[in-house]
Amino acid sequence: MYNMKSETIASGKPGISADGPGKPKRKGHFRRNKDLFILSLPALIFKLVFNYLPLIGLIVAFKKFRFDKGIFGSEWNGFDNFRFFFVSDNAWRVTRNTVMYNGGFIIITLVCALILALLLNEMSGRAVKVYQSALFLPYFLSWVVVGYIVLAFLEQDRGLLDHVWRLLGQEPVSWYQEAGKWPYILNAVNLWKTVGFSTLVYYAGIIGIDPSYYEAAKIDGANRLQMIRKITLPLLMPLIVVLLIVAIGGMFRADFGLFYFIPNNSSFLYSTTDVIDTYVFRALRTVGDVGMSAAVGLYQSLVGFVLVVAANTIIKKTNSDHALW
Amino acid sequence: MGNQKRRGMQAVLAASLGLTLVLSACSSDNKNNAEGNNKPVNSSQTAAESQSPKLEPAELTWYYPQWSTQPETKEVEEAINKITKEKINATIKLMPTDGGSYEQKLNTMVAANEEFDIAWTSFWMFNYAQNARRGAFVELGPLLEKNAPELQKLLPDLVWEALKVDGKIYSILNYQTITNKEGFLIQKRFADKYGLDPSAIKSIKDIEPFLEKIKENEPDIIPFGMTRGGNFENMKTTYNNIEYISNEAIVGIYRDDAGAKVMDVIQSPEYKEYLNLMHEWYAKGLINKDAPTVKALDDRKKAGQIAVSFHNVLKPGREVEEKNASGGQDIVLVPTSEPFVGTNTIIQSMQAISQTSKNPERALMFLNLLNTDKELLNLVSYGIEGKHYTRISDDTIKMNENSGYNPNITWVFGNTFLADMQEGQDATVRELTLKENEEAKSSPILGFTFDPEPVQTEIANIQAVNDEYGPPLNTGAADVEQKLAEYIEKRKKAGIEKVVAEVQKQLDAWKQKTGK
Amino acid sequence: MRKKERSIARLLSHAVLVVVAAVMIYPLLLVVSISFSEEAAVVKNGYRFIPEQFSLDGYAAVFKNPGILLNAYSITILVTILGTAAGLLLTAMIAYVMSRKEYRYRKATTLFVVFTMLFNGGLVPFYILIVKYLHLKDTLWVLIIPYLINPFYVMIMKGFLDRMPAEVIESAKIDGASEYRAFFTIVLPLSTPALATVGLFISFIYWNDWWLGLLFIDQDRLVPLQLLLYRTMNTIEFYAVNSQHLSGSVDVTKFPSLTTRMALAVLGAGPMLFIFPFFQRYFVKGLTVGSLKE
Repeated sequence: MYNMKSETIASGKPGISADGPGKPKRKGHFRRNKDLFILSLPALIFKLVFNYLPLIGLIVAFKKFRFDKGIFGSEWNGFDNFRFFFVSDNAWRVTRNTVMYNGGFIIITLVCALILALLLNEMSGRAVKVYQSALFLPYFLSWVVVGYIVLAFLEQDRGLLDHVWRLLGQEPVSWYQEAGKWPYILNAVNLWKTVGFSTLVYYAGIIGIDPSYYEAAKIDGANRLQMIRKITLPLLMPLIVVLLIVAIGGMFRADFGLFYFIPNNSSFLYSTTDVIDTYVFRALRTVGDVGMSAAVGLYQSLVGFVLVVAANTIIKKTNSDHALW
Repeated sequence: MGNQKRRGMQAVLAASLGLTLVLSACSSDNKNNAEGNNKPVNSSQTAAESQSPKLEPAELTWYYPQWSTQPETKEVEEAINKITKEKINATIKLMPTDGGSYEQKLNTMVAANEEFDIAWTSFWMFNYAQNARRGAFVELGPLLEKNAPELQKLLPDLVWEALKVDGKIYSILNYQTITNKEGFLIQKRFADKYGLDPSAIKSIKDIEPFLEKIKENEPDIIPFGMTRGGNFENMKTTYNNIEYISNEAIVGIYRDDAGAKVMDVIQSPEYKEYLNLMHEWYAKGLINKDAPTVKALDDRKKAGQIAVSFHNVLKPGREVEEKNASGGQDIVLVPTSEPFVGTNTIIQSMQAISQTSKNPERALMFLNLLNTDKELLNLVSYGIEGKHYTRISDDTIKMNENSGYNPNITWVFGNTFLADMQEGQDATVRELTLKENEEAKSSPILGFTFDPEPVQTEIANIQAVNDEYGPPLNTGAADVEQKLAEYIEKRKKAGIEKVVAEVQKQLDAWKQKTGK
Repeated sequence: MRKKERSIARLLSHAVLVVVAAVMIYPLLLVVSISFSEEAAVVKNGYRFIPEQFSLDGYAAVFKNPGILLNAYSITILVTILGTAAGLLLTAMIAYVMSRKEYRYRKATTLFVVFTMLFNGGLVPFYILIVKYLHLKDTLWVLIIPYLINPFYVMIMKGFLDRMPAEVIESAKIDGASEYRAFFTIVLPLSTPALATVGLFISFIYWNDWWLGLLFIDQDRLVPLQLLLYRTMNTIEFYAVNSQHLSGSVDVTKFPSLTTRMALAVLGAGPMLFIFPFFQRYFVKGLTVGSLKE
């Protein structure tokens, strides 16, 4: 019963023509489309200038870039710039790391943020504000600062964990030299820093739900869990889908700050913490070739694009309203 | 309720817009003043024009790295311009750029073909040879005679050789110490306490007994301080006179090898010897445990916790600098090699002229002036006399406390032998440095710079391998036999042999061409 | 029966949230603690939650040049206010259009925006655009304009606006309102939770940015807060990488100590604590439908 109601509302089918009976529909539609278009125009122009125009620069990925010749004057060199990444021993390893971390982050953050948002929903005004602020606080910090915090915990001899381990009579661990522990550490740190963001989004979504649904459900005798399953989650779906698809598009892109600053650039940890972006950064740091870095960027974008299209198509099959386009 | 919010926001918007207009007006004012190409401002301009009637007014922008903020740069700039306007009818716009982001910023500017005149460059930041080869700089050779004759004579031939990239000169050197000398830096109080005899230290291993004494008796002190970069690069001369040709690929030659055969340094016996020694030391606890991961030891150094460290630029006068960095503890220098000169020891700090410059000749004239006019160089390095510093003697000055201009980076600006000395620096230091510059043994391949472009892909991947295996091996933390074998294998896979072949090819061609 | 169920649920929720909140805040306390510690004690004995030796030295070093710091604050505050106001409006406008199901170009517009999220022309073309063609280098505007429309936030806003019941808009139009009027007078006021959320995120981007400043700002007067922080932190990194090459000297004594770096971090993130409550006011339940009933 509740589902049907939400479906109708969400699909927004206009019953009567907006301009009232009698007026020709086509004219009304035209006017509406034109007005809406104009409303979106400033943003469209902005995107055109700042995003589409610079896309021309992507041709650098296929050129041997020389400063005095510039983007258009430099020579073409086919797929040479791509060679460096794909020929390298590490291409597989860093790609694997990137994808696995991102996959893990998506799932873990989704689950935790949803749970937290639902919990917040149980709270009253003042408590909510306090918890929200606390949850969101880590998001404010830059990765550099978080790097220092992690260092404060894990550093040899001076770190907090070292202190604790010694108190317990244990031999302290050299965290920055043990690669195996880092998938857990990085997941924990990433969750700590970013869960506040998703929680906020979901929470804002939840409070936008018409309370009358819940009231109606209560009258029908539903308990809280049932309400969550049948009302809250379905109505949150569009939001969840948006965040999900966007995250999938970024599967091959890693948050550079996280993977560069938190492991403190310790070479012992590369096998489990090196991702595409950090690898390219270190490799190209002195080589400094604009074409080569553009090539890797293009590769990441293409894969992301394919993934987004695929994800959107799959979602369209299950529930066409939730898909992005 | 929504209306209220919007109104509130609108009020804030209006207020901020007002503020912004004021701010942007200010910045555009600056811009207008700076676009001084066709605006003769005061009478001194016309006087100058009569002195050198052939020179049109020109404005030059000069980018250089600076590791601090100097609030009174504007005033210094005005004083500088008084001199430059008079002598070469040019105004300079100083563009000090934060040192930590200098490379990134300049790389982007150059890639975007942005217009500017002069930029600081070196082999270790905003790489000189690489940028020159990619067309960032103007070739200066043909322009020197006309626009910088004094400068041309000032710098020794050795220097001009080193500045050549593929036979052409693209920058001028800020003349300073051009030698490297390797050796230990030891805290005097420990050296005295444990009776260290500096003359007995000839090789790296010789210091071991001293380190062991420290370890035994000073629990809070780190005997030998190392960072994740390790020390082989600093010690390579001590270890049989090795010279790197490519720092990124770690490929080089033995200086004493007349045939100049290029080799993979990682596979050399000296490298293995170094690794074994470090491993021993690490196991004995003589090296700080976090060496493989730590980036800098400056805070521990300042606290006086490091007994011994190693450096490859033991120039005269270094003791004073080290003392400051070590929280006031006296430092003793114990060299393990003779001073020597190679391309990379020379090209540490230069000024280059951008190919996007509208006035390359005038820029060169300015550089000539900067390196020959003492008053001008003092201005740029120390500020305005009286205001920012006080004069102690003819050639010594003292910086004022809390001066609004004290960048303390004379070596970035120009000829450090020309500028006045600071209090505490010695005239003898200068003499010694110049002497060392002249007498040092020079590398047989001076003037050769490797062009990595044909093997760029391989180098990029090799570098990633170095980054991974370097720290654990170079700091002694890893087991040598196994790790080194892996390291060598991975480098081979990344293409090191191709790189070695390419280097050899270029070196042989260069030798043929120059007849060395 | 229900009452008991409710209060158990409440209690459990509180318990979980308290623990989570503590985990979130704890590490931050470490940063604060170090910033109030004495440098020598930290270097020697390590990091502690309660400073072994209390000291204001870290902050003193930062405030030695208060002018620079205050200037950075004012720049950042200005940029954040302007950027958030303008950015929020533009984002809402296009997200709204994308959420209207009857709009003919809905899919095209969505694709147009999503594409920009994935493909990036790279740093160099962006730089050339800003500096050469738009002449924005070293101005206040360069700190604001590039971030005005973030496609990710557009998608989130669209997600929120998707749930705006169509009847609300239709009823406004029956009363004779144009699309614009409908948007400004009905839709916006009803979406305050969404606006507050996205507004908060946008203000973050502006507050925390150091990238635009690093690339485009030369004059000290326009240096934003986080750039100042980044430069200070980065100096250490730089020195660490290059110390063996520096035959000239860089005055190491002037480098910020550990406690100073932490003080800077606190000063950089602290003000966000005031921004957050400003937006929290708008997280009010049931706003959307309430108006419908009116």
